[in-house]
Amino acid sequence: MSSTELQLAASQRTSLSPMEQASRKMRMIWIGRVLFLIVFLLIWQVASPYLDKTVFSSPADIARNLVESVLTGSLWPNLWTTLEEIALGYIVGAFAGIVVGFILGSNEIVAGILDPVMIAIYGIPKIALGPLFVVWFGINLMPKVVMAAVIVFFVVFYATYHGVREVDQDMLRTIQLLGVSPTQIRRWVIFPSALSAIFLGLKMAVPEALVGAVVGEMIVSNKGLGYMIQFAATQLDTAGVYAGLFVLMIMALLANSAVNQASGMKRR
Amino acid sequence: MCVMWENNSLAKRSDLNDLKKDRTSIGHVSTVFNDTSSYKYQAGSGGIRLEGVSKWFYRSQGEKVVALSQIDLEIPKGAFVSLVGPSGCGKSTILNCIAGFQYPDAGKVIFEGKEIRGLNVGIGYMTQKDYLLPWRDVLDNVWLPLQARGIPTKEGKQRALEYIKRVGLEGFEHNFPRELSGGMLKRAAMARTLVFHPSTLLMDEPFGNLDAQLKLQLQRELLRIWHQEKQTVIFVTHDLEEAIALSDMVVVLSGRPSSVKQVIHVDLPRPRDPISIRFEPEFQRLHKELWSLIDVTLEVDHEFH
Ligand SMILES: Nc1ncnc2c1ncn2[C@@H]1O[C@H](COP(=O)(O)OP(=O)(O)O)[C@@H](O)[C@H]1O
Ligand SMILES: [Mg+2]
Repeated sequence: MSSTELQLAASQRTSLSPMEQASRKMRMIWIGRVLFLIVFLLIWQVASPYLDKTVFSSPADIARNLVESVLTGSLWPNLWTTLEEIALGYIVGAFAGIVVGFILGSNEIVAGILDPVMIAIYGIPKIALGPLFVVWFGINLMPKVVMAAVIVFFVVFYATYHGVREVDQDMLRTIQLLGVSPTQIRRWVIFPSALSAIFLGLKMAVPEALVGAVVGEMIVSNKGLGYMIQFAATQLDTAGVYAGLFVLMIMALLANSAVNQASGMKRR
Repeated sequence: MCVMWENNSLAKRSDLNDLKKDRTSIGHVSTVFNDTSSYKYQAGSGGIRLEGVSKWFYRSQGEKVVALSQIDLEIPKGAFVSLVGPSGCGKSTILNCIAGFQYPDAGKVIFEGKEIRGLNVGIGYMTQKDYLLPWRDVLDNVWLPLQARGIPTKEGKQRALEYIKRVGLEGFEHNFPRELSGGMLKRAAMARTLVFHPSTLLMDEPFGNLDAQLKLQLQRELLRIWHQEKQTVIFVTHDLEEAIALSDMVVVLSGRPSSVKQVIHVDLPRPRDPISIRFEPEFQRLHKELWSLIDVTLEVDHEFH
């Protein structure tokens, strides 16, 4: 029996509608997730007395550290700084990525000229650009925003570029024959047709913005989650390092679900 | 991508004038059948001419496939011409050359006195694939050519609705292409092609996958519109009866490398009714003649599209 047949048989037996089945499945997944987390943390906690504290810390220590930084308020300025860098970097990088991707995607010659430049810059590990950004932009917000923007730019740029390149050429010329001008074609055909690729790029770029900001903070800074982690590490405060990572993970999860929410809304 | 940047020297903005002129003519569809005097095309004035057109392609293994070999063909202005021939013989390629989608490897295509270089913007080409925009509903797809010409929205949409009605898609104007059947997509594409009154119509198997009844209905509608607007029509079909019922000329192509095997002139009275015309003895005779020509060529090609 195939799996669909099995599902069918199961649904007949329990006489649940497909929607009820789906929500039941979702509930099981969530219960599983929570159980997995609890078991994982429990094992970690139980094992921690036997492990090297400076390497593994323990869930209790990490929690204590987190609560402390919340209570003393030391977490918030760092969190706020990183969020600011992410937001600014994302907006600038995404906008530039869409514009440049669209231009290069619809102009083969310009694309050909700039291709080596793009590949060369894309190929550099972005962290290597960090010192340059510091020289150019100082040690405050700016170099981190630029770092996030550069990383976001490439993700969105390539998505847009390929989205535009993949527009069906036969469709384009057929539409053009109808008397639709090149400018109108860009607006009415190429852009909408590349839109799903652009959205995918925007989605993939959200966690990249986080990476850019934190990487930037780790080069030179006196604020932000990256700084917080770095500083804890220099103090051999392993629980502090894990606490910072924990906050980053929560941010990544929240960003991801926000993006999913938004793309769900797009599909209506 | 280069397609978009090609020069538009062939763009005929005079179709704006056509639109204005025709705006009045839409209202009285029913009177067309009384008009028997002016249906005849005028030979030798501004039609389409293929002069020794050859076209070849290279298969991925490097093997050369000659699709068209030395095609000579004269299509008078205002004539309704059908192209028939085995699958893969190059019928679509001929239309592509006239539309400027492809260039002949030898010979040339003369369109209204000028050699075609670049896209032949402003002609109506109903391609085998519909190329409707998936993010626009039927109404907005049909409206597109009018929107592009800057016709006031209300007026443009009104006209689009008119043509949607004509192809029998009334009630589907707010459906998206993904919600339509194959036959409905073809009809929407047909409406989009006709709505801007192109003076030349290329139609590539437009009624290919329609049921018999709908096909007859649309043939009738097409003839009606043709009588009104007197376009030059090049109509590719596999249906020999359809070819005779609609056309002034049926061009029979041989299998690859294809050339013009024979041109049959259809001297049936106009205006015609595509159904009752089938019972004329002359129709039967032509039908027999066509079959005798096709029979041989059918065996030549084993390629199916
Ligand atoms: N772009 C192309 N590349 C390679 N071969 C092609 C191309 N277009 C058409 N052909 C070949 O040319 C021949 C004629 O094609 P086509 O004009 O589509 O035939 P028809 O419309 O009569 O069925 C076919 O053998 C087809 O495989
Ligand atoms: Mg074809």
